[in-house]
Amino acid sequence: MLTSRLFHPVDIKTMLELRKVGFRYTDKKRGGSFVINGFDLMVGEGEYVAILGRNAAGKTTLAKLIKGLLHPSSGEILVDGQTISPGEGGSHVGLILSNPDEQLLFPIVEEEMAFGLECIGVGREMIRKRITEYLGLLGMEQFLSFPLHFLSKCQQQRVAIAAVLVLEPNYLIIDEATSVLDPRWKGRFMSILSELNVTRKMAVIHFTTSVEDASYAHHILILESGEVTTKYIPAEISSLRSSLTEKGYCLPPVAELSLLLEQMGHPIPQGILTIEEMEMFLLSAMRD
Amino acid sequence: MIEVKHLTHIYNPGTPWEIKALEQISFRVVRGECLGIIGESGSGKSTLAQHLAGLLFPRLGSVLIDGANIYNAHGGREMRKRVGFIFQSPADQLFEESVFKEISFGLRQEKNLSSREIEERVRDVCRKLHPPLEDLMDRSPFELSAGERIMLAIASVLISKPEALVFDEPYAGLDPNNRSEILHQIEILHRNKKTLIILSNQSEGLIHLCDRVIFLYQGKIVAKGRLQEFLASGEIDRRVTDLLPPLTRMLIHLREKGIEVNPSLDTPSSVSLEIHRLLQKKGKN
Repeated sequence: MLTSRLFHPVDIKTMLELRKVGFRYTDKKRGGSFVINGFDLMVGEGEYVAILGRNAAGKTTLAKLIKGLLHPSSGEILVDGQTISPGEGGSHVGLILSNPDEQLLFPIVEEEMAFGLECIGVGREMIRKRITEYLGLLGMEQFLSFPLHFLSKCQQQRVAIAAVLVLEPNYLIIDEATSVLDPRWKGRFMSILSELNVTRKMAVIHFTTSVEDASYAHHILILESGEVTTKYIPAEISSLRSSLTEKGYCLPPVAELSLLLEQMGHPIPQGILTIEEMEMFLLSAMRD
Repeated sequence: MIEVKHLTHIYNPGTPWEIKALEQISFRVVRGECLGIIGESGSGKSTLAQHLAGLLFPRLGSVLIDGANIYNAHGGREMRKRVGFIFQSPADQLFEESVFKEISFGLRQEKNLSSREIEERVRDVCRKLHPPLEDLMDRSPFELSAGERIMLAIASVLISKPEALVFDEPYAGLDPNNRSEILHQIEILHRNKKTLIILSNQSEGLIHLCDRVIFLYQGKIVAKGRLQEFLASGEIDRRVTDLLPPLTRMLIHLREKGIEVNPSLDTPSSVSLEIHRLLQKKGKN
């Protein structure tokens, strides 16, 4: 078992920490053995971690544990040095789920956006300002007065994302939230995350099945049957292509293309991860 | 076979929530053809799909099957049965307790079929699917994997022998392995001369499948034609390039920079072969 202390000395007061967290469901259907076992994780201010796992690896369970929607059967979870009690992830931790239906509570976009802010006591003027800012970030400002059921799945998910980001959480937990976004908004969402991670030092923990989504993070942890089995940094993805494929992960198109080209005898430099980098590399290879 | 004429759809007209989802859409699909309709979220795809399935009433413009309006008072209902519809999330159209009951639901409503005939027809449809559903007959539809659910949705539509099938985002939210299974299944339907309409937010996998494609942008058609010819031609509209798969986009950019490359490829394997060819040619010079 690896302890995931990602950056070096981090202050416990600005850190999210999971200490030997174990969890088992108690209901009849899923009850029994631990789905999460002795899980350790430390994520400090400004860190960006992707936790890559296939279906049933324990991703959603972990995401809900961190938000306080589930309570650990063993071990503890600390946010800024404070143990979280059941149902108390607090507004410092934001959680975006994969399906907007599970997340959205109100009939109107504006109500959905305002609810969390009202709960944490933000003033009326500030609420209006922040709603405009964050809806705008997700391209949804013109839908402020719209009933949510008039919107498409992708638009609903953008409202769900905006409604979490508007609370300006210090820690953002994302559980497979890009699957209902169309390609353009998926790309936009990934760059919004990177921006907020840099400008506001928001820590990001992204649970995903997609190697491509994971490659935006500073660190990638592989989760198998509730345990972290491997740690990577994104630049290593290219050298780990075959082992990831063997484990059943689908590679981003660029990584798959690099793998195939190497098999044909064309070495591709390690650092090439994005389509733009690949384009530049091929252009120079074909020209000189 | 299917014709859409000057179709305009406005949601909540005259209210503050008015949205013009479709504007003056016209196209035709001939029998046995596979048409791709590609547009991002909010482009009007799902609205168009619902019109094709007869779920929305066309107030402006019309939807015709073999020249007859599908909302004709006489036989409109029968006519709509000729087009099968596979929804974006197949769980929305599944409701029975077992796979067998789900597929046979439509047949069980018809009084003149014996239970034996029904069983034979169900088995027949399931055998033809790839992967076949035969071994899953007693399972609950809600225990199936995402890929199997789509197969089940396809089977329950095929059982009533529609002439045309409309797929709304057939592979949204699926992993690439499931996606290629669905594409393979659609290819088989195409080979069997079913008329197909596929609505998708990405053109991935559709380049070689569809005979023609239409690109929708904010409720309007911005480009249409044969995708391969279209990609081979020089200038491509930006709104269209954005909807192409990333590797295809990369090839288009390379061509714009003077590299002689065939951009009508979209899978890592086909693109790698094309690049291999170019790099080898370069090596020889």
